[in-house]
Amino acid sequence: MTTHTSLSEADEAAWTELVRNGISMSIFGLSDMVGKEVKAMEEIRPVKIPVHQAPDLLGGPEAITLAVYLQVVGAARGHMVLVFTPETAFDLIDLLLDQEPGTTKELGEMEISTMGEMGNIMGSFFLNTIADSTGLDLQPTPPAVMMDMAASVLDVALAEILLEADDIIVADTMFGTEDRLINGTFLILPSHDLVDVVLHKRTTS
Amino acid sequence: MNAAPATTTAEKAVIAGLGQVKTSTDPHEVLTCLGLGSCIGLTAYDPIAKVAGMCHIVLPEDPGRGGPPSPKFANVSVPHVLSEMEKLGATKRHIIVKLAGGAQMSSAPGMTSAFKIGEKNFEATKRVLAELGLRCTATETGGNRGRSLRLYVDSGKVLVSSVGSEPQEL
Repeated sequence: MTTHTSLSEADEAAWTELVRNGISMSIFGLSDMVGKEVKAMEEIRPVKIPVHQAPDLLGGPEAITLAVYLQVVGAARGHMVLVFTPETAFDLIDLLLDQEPGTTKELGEMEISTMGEMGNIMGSFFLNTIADSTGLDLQPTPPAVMMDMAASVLDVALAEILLEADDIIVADTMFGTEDRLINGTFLILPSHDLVDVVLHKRTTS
Repeated sequence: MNAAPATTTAEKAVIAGLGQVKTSTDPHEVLTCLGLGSCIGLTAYDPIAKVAGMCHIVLPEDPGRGGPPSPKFANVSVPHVLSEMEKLGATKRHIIVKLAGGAQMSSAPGMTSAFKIGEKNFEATKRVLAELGLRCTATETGGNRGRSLRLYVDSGKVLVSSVGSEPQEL
């Protein structure tokens, strides 16, 4: 079993920098997609927390969320989850589909596809940035779009992480535009192996 | 916005988080699992001794990678809650078990296998219950929606709630 109780300060700093760059690039990808400047609302700082506290990052276990979930596959495994309140997601869908605000009221095939595409873009930008820094082959799976309680949409990711360890290094990023139209959270949930592989590769490359 | 009404002021919610087991004999307490997706929420209740137990099961079986046994696994969690309830005065043959959760939250292409963990959790939990000789009288599992589960210690009443529907007694 791998744990990160011994992650050095230098490793933590290196991981933080990689994740920060990756998330910045994925937000850039989102800006490009929506045609508006989107910015991180706060400093991106990965933290280590007990796995069972992860749903609290999304407003609590029963908070209703719209989530786009992608797995990281390839050299190591991990999870990426893009999370919005349903209202924000519907606003975003209207923006992306060039519709009047308030048009989207539920998730149909087109809306799911639109949110999935956004997840694809953000996930790919993030992983490409990590790959560029490390040379590792990391790819996103096709996205799964879910609207339900926060804890329930994170279950599959957290179950896989709990198979290895009871804590997790999580990067929780709020982002939005000047008028806060796009206000979402991008969660990076790496397996401990992913952190190890990325840091090792970075040191040796 | 939340999926279900909170407990009343006289009641105290005791949350069984991911991989946790809770027991109680306090009639004011409501043992609670919030936002079960692929996880299984298990309620166990001895109506004579009024002893309640709850498991929040995340994974089917301990793969034996070392480390202490963890109640995040079905094959550890269920014997553990039984043992803890017996310490509080419960009798195994009186205990009534109910299960909720085990959903497949998505059937997205390429991830079907990962999302089938709910089904595996349910099967593993049923197998452990059978091995222990515990009675399961009701289940609300599968599908593709999240659920919250509440067990009222004073009465043994079990409520399951989902987004967009009224809480149902199990």
